[in-house]
Amino acid sequence: MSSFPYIHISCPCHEDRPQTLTIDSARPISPSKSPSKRDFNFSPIAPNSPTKGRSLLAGFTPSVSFDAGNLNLDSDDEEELTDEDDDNNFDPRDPRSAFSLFPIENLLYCEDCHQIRCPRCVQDEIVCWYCPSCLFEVPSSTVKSDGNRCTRNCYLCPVCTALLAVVPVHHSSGHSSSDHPTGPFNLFCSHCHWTTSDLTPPIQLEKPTSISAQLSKLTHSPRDNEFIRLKQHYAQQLGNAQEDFTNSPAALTRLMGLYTGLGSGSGGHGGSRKGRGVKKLEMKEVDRPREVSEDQELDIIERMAVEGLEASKCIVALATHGRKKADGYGKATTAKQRLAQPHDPRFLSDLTPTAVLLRTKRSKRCRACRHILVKPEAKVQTTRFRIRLVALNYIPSLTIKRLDSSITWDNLTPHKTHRFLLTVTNPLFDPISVSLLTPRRTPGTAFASRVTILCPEFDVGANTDVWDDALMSTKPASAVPSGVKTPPTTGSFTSFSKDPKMSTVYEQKRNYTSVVIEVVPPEIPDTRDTRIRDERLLEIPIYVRVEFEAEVDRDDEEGGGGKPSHSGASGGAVQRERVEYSYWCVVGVGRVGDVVEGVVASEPNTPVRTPVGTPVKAPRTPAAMRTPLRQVRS
Amino acid sequence: MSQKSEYIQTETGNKVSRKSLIIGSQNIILGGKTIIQADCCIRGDLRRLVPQGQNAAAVAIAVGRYCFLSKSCLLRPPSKTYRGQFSYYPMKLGDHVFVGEGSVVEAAVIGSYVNIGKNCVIGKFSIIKDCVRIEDGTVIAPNSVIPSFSSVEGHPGIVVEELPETAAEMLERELNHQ
Ligand SMILES: [Zn+2]
Ligand SMILES: [Zn+2]
Ligand SMILES: [Zn+2]
Ligand SMILES: [Zn+2]
Repeated sequence: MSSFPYIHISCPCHEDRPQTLTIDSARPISPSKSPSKRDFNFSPIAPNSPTKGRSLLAGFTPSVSFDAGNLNLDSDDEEELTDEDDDNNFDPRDPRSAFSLFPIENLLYCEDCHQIRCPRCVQDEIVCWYCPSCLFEVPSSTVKSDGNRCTRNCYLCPVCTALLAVVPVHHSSGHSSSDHPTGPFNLFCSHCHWTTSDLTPPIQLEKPTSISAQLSKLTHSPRDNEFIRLKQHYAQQLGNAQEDFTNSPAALTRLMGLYTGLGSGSGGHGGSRKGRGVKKLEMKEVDRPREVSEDQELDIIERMAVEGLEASKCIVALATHGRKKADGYGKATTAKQRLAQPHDPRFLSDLTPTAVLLRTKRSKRCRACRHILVKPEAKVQTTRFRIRLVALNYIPSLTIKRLDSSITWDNLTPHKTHRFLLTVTNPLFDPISVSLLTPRRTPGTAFASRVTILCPEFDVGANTDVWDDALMSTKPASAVPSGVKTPPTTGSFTSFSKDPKMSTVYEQKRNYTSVVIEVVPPEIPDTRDTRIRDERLLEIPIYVRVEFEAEVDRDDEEGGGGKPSHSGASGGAVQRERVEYSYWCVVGVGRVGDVVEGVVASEPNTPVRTPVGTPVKAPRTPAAMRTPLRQVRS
Repeated sequence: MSQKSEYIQTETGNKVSRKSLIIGSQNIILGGKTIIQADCCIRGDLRRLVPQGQNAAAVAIAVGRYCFLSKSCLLRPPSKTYRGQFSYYPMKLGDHVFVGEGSVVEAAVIGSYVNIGKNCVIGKFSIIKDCVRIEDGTVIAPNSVIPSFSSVEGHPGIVVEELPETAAEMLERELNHQ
C-alpha cells in the first residue's frame, strides 16, 4: 500500500445500509475523569436538527443526539460500554471498506447530489482515442474497424516493452554524408538492443515509413486468418439479427437471450420466452476445434529439448568454470511476453513487435443524476478541462504531520504517546466549523490503539486569496475566525465541548487549522496470525463534520449551494443558509514496531491547560520525550 | 546560517547552490524561482553544432519557473549522429518540474508539473508531457513519449497508473513538500 502517512476518504457509496454509530473519544480531555464522558448516538433518521440544515450527504446524515442516560454512568461501567460499541464505527479493516476508500485527489463532487463521487459511482464516456506514443487522435470509426492499437509507426519491443526505433540495417559509416539513409531497415530497441533482425526469419523493412502495412504482410500467421474468419462469422450472426446493441434494457434482455435461446433448441427453458415478445435469436458458435499441426508441435518439442540440453550444459559450465551467467532457457519467452502476443510464442525468436495500445480521454458522469462531473478538452495534447468538479475544491482536506521528528512512521513504539499534527484545509470561500470525531480505540482489531484528538472542534478560515487576506487584517477581528470555539449556543451537536479550556488549536492560518492528535499504540506480538491480518498497521478512522453558512440563491436552491462564493448575488434574493455535511476518513499513521525496553504503559493524555479564547501552541516537548526511552538511547 | 550563504539568488529569484556545477551558463535559461541544489550538474556547454557562418543556436537548456533540481542530478542535452554529423540538441523543461536526487536527464522536452523521482534515467530525446509522475529508479528508454496524466515505473518505464484530474495540484504539492 501507499507509504505513510496517508489519508483516504470514504465515499458515501459505502453507506448503503442504515447504521448506528457510537463515537466517544473525540472530546476535550478532562483531567478529572468521569462526568464529561459521553456517548453520541448517530442515527440515520432524517435530520430534525435545530439548524435548518441542508444535507450534503443525503444518504448519510447522522443527526446527533445526546444519550442522556449515559451521562449518569459511573466511569467503570462506561469503559465496558464503549468497548462493546466499537463495532458501530467505521472500520477500516472491514473488507468492504477498501472499496470505498480513496485519496481526496481521486474523488469528484456532484453539485446536484451534494455528494462525493468516487471512481465507483461515476460513469466514464470516451471523448477521444489517441496513441500515447505519437499522440495522434484515432477516430472512433477507425478504432471499430482496425482495433485499439496504433496503426501508424508505433511499435513496442516484445522483449522489454520499450519503444522501437527504425534504423537502417547497415550503418553507413560516417564518411559518406548521404542525405537519406538507405534500406533495408529494422526495428531496434534502444533499451535492450533487440532488433527485428534477431527473429527467425529476420524481419527487414524496405521503407522507414508505413511500418504497420509492411509488418502486417511480413508477420501474417495462420492465427490471423483464423481471427478474421471468426470475426466474419460473428459479424454475420449479428448482422442477421439486425439488432443494435445499445445500452437499453430491451437490448440487454435480447443479448442475454442470445445464449439461452440457443439452449431452447434442445428443449431448455427458452420455449417459455417466445410468448413474451422477446424476439428469439439463434446464435451459432463456431464449433470447429482449433487446428493443431502435428509437425509444428513436434518442432516445438524438439527445440525445447535442445534448449534444455543447453541449459544443463550451462549449469555444468557454471559449476566448473565459474561462469557468471547461466543463460539456459534464455531463449524461451516469459509468461508476460507470451501473453502480450496473440500467437502464443514460446521462443524469443518467435516474438513480433507489438503495436502500441491506444489510450482514451474520458468524461465522467454522476451515476445517480447523470450530470457531467469531468469533461476534458477534446484536443489530445491539452491537459485542460471544460468541466472539472473535483472534491479537492469542495470538501476540507486533512493532512497529518509528526510533531516529534523522532517518530518513524513505519516503526511506532508501543505504549509511547505519539503526537501528530492534524491539519484541516478549507477550500471554500466561507469560513467553516469543523468537528473531528474518532473512536477512543481503533476499531476492528484485538490490538486497539488509544487515540485522542486534543481539540476536536475548531474553525477554519475562508479560502480567500492573498489580497482579501490583506484587507481582512485591517478589519476588526470579527471577520477572522476566532481561534477557539466559544461555548456553543445552538445545535445539539456542538454542545459537546463543555470544557473549552482543554481545546487548544495548535496553529491557525488563513484557510487551515492544525490540532494535535495523540496515539498510543499497544504491544502487538509478531506472530504468523498478526502478520496475516496485518495487525501492526495503524489506521485511525476519523469522522469529519463540517458546518458553515453559505450564501444561497433562493431561486436556484437545488443547483447553487455546492460551492458558495462571494459573488453569489445574481438577481435572486440572497440568503445565508446553514450547510452541514460529514464524511469518514481513514488516517494511515504507520506501522507499530517492537516493544522498546523501558517504555511502559502510561496515561495517554497530557492535558494542556490554557486560558479561554487564546490559541496556544501545544508544548514542543511532549511528555513522551521524558520517558525512559530517551534515556536509553542517549 | 551557512545554509543561507550556500545559495546565490538571481534577479528572477532563482536560487543556485554554490556547490552546483553549471557549465556554459550563457547557454542556460532559468525561468525564475527555480532551485538548484548542491552537486547538481547542468551541461550548457553541450550545444548544437551549426555550420560555420550561421549564428550559433544560443540555448542549450531552458528551465521553466518553480523547478527544483535536487542534489547530484544531471541535465545533459541529448545527442545523436544525424546525416553523418554528431551534435547535441536543446533540452527544454516546463514549470513546476521536480528532478530527484541522482537522476540523469537527457530528455528533449519535459512539460509542466512533472515529478521525476530519485535515481531515474530519462533517456535521450524522450518527451514527457504535462502532469506526469516518474517513480524512483525508473529508466525511460531513449525516444520514448510519456503522455499526460501518467505514472511511470520500471526498467524500461511503463505507464502503471493513470493520474486523476487533480494531477497538477497533486504534483505541485508534492514538489512543495520536498
Ligand atoms: Zn462511491
Ligand atoms: Zn502511434
Ligand atoms: Zn527491448
Ligand atoms: Zn449527481
